Amino acid sequence: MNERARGIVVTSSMHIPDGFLSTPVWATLDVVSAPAVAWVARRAQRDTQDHRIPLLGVMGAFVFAAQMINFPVGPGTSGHLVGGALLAVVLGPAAASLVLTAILILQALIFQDGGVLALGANVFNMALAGVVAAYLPYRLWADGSRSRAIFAAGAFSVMTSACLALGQLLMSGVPMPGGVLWASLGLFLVSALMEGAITVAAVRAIERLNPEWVAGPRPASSRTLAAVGFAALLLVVIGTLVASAAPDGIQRLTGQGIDSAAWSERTIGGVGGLALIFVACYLGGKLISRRRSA
Amino acid sequence: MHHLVVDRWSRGSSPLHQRDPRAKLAALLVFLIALSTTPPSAQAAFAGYGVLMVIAANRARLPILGLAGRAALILPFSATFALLTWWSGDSLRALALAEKSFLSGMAALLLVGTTPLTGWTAAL
Repeated sequence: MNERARGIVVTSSMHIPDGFLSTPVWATLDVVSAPAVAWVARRAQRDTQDHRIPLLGVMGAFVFAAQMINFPVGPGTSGHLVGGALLAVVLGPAAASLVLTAILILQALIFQDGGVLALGANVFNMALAGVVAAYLPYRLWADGSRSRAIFAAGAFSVMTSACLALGQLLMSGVPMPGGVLWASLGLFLVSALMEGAITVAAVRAIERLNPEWVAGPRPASSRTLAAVGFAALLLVVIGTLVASAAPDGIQRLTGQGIDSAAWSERTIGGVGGLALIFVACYLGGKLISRRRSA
Repeated sequence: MHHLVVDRWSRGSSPLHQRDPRAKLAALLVFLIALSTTPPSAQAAFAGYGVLMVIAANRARLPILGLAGRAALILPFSATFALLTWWSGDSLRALALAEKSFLSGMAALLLVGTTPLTGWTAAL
């Protein structure tokens, strides 16, 4: 059974389940992701032409199905397509984020692939940061070799999501000896290269079917901006991993370490997080409905 | 296929099936937050959560073994991290890690197992 197979793939699975992240980490990422997805949804609504909406559904179903197929990464481990880059290239970044978020929600609830509280983290890693990480190199190198740009999009997207997920696990106090961390990064690198190759093949195949299906990078957006964004994202990703791989520093920062915080404190943190999520969703919904009626 | 079984489950008519999907979603979130904020030392609480899941599955007239089996799909993943935690000397935390991910899986399955797809997508 495929889910079972994926479960064994420890190091190359990026869907963080519940129970792994500490309250401050999942609550923060839920609070960040909820309004971000609301914003992305609004953008997607504005940018996506009506005749392309069925394509969103088809691409979503395709990526959902493709995520089920595992390919071997190393001895005893396998990975699967994430699809962030494929969606970003074909649909454009906003619609890609939205479709990937929907996929992640379905997976968390139906397939036990990724947690419900950790949904914010998974959405942030794959649907938000992962899609941005795919779109920036694609936009940056679109003028040169197209295949190279698409390959870079796939590979960078997966590495970004993986480094963020590893960083969040480390920040939550999940112990990861140096050897395991490096082995994970190595496996993720192989996964990333495969994602790049599969993305190139898939985009080429789709273009051969109908060139109009692929959205292509927007000519209006500035290349300098893409370059700056790319550099910033690279810094954030490396920074997260380096900072969280040194738990001593974080423990010093929190005084006593996240783990030993009092139960009441953690509960208040959780309830506060929930309240913030509610407020964020409520405001996001209000904003959307106001835009719609305007 | 496992989601087809869940789909069949979701068409039941137990008291839990008849609840408002929004209420069930809210209950799931509250449960997950309580679970997530329970410290590893409170093993009695985890046992309590387990009993709660069994009672809920019973009320929903869902096969408890089927639910547990599907929730156990997460265990190979969490067990690896639990082992790492064990090796680093924190056996209680290792146990809690596996328990939390398993119980979270059970709770999420209870939601989708008692609510048709259209119900919980509308609730979201």
